[in-house]
Amino acid sequence: MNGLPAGEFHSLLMFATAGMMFMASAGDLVIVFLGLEILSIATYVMCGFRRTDVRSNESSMKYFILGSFSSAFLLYGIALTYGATAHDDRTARHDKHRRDQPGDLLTSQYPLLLFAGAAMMLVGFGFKIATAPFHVWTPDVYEGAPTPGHRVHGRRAKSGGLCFVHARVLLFAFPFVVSNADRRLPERIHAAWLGALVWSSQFSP
Amino acid sequence: MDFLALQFPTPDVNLWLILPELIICTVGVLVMLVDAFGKPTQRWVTGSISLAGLAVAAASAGWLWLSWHGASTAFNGMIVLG
Repeated sequence: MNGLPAGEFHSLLMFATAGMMFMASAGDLVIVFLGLEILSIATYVMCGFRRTDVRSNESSMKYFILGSFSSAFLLYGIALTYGATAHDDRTARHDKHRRDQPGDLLTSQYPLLLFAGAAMMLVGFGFKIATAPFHVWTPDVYEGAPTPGHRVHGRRAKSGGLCFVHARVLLFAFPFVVSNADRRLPERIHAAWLGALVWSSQFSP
Repeated sequence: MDFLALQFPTPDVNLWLILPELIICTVGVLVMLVDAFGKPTQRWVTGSISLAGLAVAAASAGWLWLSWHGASTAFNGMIVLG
């Protein structure tokens, strides 16, 4: 970070932290989206912090395109979920015991719509947390970003997104997949076999 | 349509629930201002302010944790302290 403006970096780091905190305390999918965008925009800038370095520019541009793409998926998923449940908050899940307010995929009056919405939210968060098969440009982002930005992007942002996917999206939309016995088992299996499958074909020129 | 007859619900504003986030955002803006007007050689100032802000935000989050008496919401359920 020698020669780079430290104050700007600290400020961006604070805003990224605030975005993660908003995501953690969100009771509504709109707040989740706002928190995610606060986090993402700060992270785009941090990835391209070395403005004279071509690889840093490439990293920032790729992450920006990837992030925009995933945000569009996520927003569309939120809209479909709202259309299927008439809620965009926690009551969408908690009202499943009421017949007039169907809550999850098993009890919804519009299961296909809710399934599509949840699937698009999963795709959006899949890009955000760089889970396979949505991880394609993430190694390039890691390679070009300055080390502190890379750490924020790689550790904290992914952790925040993964916690949210786990706590809200999977439990809300796919309760039959995620049982109480081992809620992380599907993610582990998925990450293990698909990661092993594509690992050998990835290289850095 | 009579727009004067529209009744808007009073928003459920509770800034205490987002106190850590508010502190973080305020410190972020403060750090940006200090960086803009400070000397380039004083790089430690912004780092120190950031760390102090994080400590205050952590203290406020701890205070929220200790004063927790069940799930509470703010802004009509958009923010949840669970």
